[in-house]
Amino acid sequence: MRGSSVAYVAVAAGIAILAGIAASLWWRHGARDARPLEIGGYVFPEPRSLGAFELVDESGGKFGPQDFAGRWSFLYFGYTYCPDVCPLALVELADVKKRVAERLPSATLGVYFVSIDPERDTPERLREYVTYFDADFRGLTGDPGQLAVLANAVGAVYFVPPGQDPKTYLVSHSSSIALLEPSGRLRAVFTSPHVAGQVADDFAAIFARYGSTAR
Amino acid sequence: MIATHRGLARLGRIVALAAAAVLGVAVAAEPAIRVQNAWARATPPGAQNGAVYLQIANHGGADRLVGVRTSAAHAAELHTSATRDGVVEMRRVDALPIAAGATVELAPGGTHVMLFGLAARLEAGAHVGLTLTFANAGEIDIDVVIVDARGPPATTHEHGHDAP
Repeated sequence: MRGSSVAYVAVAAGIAILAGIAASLWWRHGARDARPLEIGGYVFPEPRSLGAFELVDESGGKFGPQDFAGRWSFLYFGYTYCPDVCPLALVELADVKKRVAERLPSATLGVYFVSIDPERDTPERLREYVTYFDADFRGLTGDPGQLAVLANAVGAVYFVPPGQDPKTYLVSHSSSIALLEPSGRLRAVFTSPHVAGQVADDFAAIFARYGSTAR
Repeated sequence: MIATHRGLARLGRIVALAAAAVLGVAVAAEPAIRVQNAWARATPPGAQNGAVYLQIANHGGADRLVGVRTSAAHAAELHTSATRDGVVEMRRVDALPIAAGATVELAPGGTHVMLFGLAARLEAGAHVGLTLTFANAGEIDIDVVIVDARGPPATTHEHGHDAP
């Protein structure tokens, strides 16, 4: 009889301890989730839909919002005549892709360079340009009105300052990176400057919190 | 005799000139402006424009960089990528002040030499010439090395594909 009451006490104590751990984990997890994620940019608590648009990809094929579905997508808006900040961002994004592949093999991602200069950036030129940075990089461009739909949805801004040569003109543009979740909706925006290690860390935090619900 | 005197006088002048030349060279060996670590990012196929980065160390009085030219591109201009209201704007810089004793860095995401209309793609490992014109120091010719800014892993990767 004495042996079995010791066993009862031990089992009861064990249950109490486990319940305590579970409660503390639940509380801490809950408390953490209540705070917005802090990244080099901003995370939307509720993902935002992109709306309807039709663009052209680097092989000349049609590309719509549904084509972003199924994986995480990093979007950078620029143009191939941009010699400084665009190559800089694409080099960092290639590094981000490599880091994420090593750390989070289950997170499939795509990187899109969206040309805001459809006048000069043909699909062929885009393909040559983006694949130089990473063989899997994709290029998008299209009709200015259609580009504006996607740009507005992710908060990208661009304009051609007046008074420039029609052949060699430069385009002013925002230099943020938009992150779409696998549902195809906007989840976060990384503001410049972009450092691959930081963007990869931020992505890991976003993936940890929203990765299971983002499909 | 007179002829010899003239000869000696001429020799004296030549020696004086040579001495001045040597002195001049000695002075020129430590120029007020030194341009160092000049590099350009290798360009993707089809890219029309490029950028050159460098450091200007000024060991003398205040100066200004007022011009750039190269045979590697249709035109070269001094530009700065400035962020205003979250938008990156590339602006032409007519003159870049180089304060006395200062080192000014032209680096990615900031001020750079913009190459418009490349004569040929900038291939990693190759070099291009660039002439910088300073208001006081005059013209300085520099050699710009072209660097694959994607870093060594990408290069190693390509070599890996070439291996049998």
